[in-house]
Amino acid sequence: MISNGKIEKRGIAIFCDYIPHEILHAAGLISQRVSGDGKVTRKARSVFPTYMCSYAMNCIYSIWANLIEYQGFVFANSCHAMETLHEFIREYVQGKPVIIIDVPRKSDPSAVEFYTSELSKFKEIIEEKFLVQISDEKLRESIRLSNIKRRLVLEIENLIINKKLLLTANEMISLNNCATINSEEFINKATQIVNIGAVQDNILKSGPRILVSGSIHTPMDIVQLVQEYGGKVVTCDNCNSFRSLIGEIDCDEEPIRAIAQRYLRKRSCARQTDINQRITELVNLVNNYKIDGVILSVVKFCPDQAYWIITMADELKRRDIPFLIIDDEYSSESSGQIHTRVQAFLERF
Amino acid sequence: MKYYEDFYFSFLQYQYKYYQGVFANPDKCIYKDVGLFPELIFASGLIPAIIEVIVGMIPPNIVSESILNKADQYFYDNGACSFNKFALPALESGNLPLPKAFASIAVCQEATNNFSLLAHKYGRPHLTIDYPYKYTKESTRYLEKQYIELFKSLCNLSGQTLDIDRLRECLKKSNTAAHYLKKANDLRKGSPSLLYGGQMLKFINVMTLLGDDKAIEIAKEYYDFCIQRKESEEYPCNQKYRILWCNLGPVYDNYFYEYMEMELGAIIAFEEINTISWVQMNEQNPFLSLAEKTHEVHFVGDVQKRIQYLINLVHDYKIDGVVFFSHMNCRMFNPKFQLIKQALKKEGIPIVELSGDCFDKRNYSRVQLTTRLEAFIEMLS
Repeated sequence: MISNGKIEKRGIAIFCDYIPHEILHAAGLISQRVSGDGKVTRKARSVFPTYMCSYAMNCIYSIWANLIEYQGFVFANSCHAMETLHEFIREYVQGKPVIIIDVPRKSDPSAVEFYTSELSKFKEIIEEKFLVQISDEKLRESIRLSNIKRRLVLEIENLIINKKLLLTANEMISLNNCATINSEEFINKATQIVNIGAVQDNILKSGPRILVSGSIHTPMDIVQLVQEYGGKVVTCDNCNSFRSLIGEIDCDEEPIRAIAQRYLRKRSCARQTDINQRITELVNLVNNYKIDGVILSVVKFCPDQAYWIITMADELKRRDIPFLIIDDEYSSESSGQIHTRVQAFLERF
Repeated sequence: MKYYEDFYFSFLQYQYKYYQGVFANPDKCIYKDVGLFPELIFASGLIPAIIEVIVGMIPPNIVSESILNKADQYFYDNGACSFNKFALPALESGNLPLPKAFASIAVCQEATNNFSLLAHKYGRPHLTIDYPYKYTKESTRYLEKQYIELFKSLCNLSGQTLDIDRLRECLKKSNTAAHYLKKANDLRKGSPSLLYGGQMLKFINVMTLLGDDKAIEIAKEYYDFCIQRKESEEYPCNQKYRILWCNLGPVYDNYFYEYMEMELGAIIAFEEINTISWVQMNEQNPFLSLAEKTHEVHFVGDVQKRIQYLINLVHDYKIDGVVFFSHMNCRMFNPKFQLIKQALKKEGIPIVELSGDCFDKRNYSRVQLTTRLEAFIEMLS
């Protein structure tokens, strides 16, 4: 399953939320987030240890299956698994650019400075490999377009928070995926949604309001379960949720630097070292969206999430916010055990 | 010939005395991971305590097993590394004292995540160095700036004034110890081997304390031993094959190494972890030197750096085969094994992966490990 199900002609496979699609867009390329198909093949198991992140193992298959279609691959040093995946692809894929960007785990001024230099180099590599010129003007145009989308997402978020709008997790994810692939379609869809929300008032739906957080990509099988058992996933906090599109890029700043700033200061993920920021962000989501319960869904064997989840569970417990922890393989189907646990969790509301 | 040499016991004595001092002064103690260099901590008047070393020193007994059982509950059996997951229940049960602060470098991301969790839980500062994957001028500069900030924070914690000369002095000590270690390692390139390498797998603990006076003494003793052994031409008996050991090994089963070296004649000619892959640090430019040293450590960052280094070690130490020990749940090293294996295979270098847990003995099977090793040794013949 790759983003919206089809790969665009100038598609570049990307593997992290911190890779700025504005630079690729300015080069006439399309960022396509690889999300895997929920299956770990025997081939993947033969090259990685059994305790390897199953998302990374998923990606191997997706990459092989769609190798001809991708024009290149861009990784971030997100975690050990992604670094290794990059090294594998670099070794075995010939004739296509395989790039890795160093994304700082901090967001202080020296981290921004370093990330700016990384992105400048990234821009040069793209120019060289794809024989394009990315002028400041083109970059500014991409940033302007990106900001339109970011503003729309913020409006949608506010409508949901103010109970003027309800979107299913599926709608949110597909809207999010569309953002980097087809800007025009995204703007049309998002504008329609905003217009509908603007005239509605106090949309209420029975059932507990659930936040799904943790896993790299929103686990749609769990979202589906929540809905089956009468809950409502109001928002998600994953790499393919609105988290990646919130916050505008400063148009007055030098473009690459502005992009670096925006990406490092966005809502963070479990790889970032500032645990307090993560806690604040999660609690803000709970409060703003008036969440009844949180599902912390983590990918088994992810060393970032394995530690993050303990702190988050402690914090939620301290604040008396009901939560459920699910650690499972990155798969497209929930086991019977997970069915039972989600059902039991929702019964408490 | 005996398996353990005298300098090894000096090292053990030093290690235990050092950690006695640590536990007697928890208010001066900084828990750090193995990747972060200790020089900055020594120079700020604080005492570095390496969590992986402490855990490795704990004998396998009922207490450590019950702590590990507890850890499995905390970590939802989610595949956390035993070195890291041990700390939380050990601190909670009072088996480890609370330090003044935690400090780490994101070379092993799991260690940094672990410290982040512990620091938050116990309300202690967590000082981190972000490690960039690529070795470039800009990433070195980024590291340098972070080391400057780390030193400032450590001096703030200790209440000492920020004294660069003290740091230079520590770097000088570190350079001196590294110089002896490197010379001793060079002497070990000759065949037959000067000593049994199994005992050296714990010797990495000396490298985690570079910058301390006593580390120089231990390094010199090791060097003097190698010179004396070379001159006397007394070698360990029965060398049939020369093995390069990659990563650590089980810390609780010394018999395994004795069997491998003395019975099978597969001498561990060199241990990858004891290598000094960095050049001497420039004491006049301490922060930049530390940043460069970070990148020069060969087993972090891009796998190609490690592969090239391993190939050089194989040639330099006249290695017949490589043993790659995969510590359970180590996602920093083990996922790269296949890439390393393919590259070594191209060079005609035999390699075998042995899997187990360096510290957690609960699922250990010596028979399983030795069977695999014996098959490899047979293949070498």
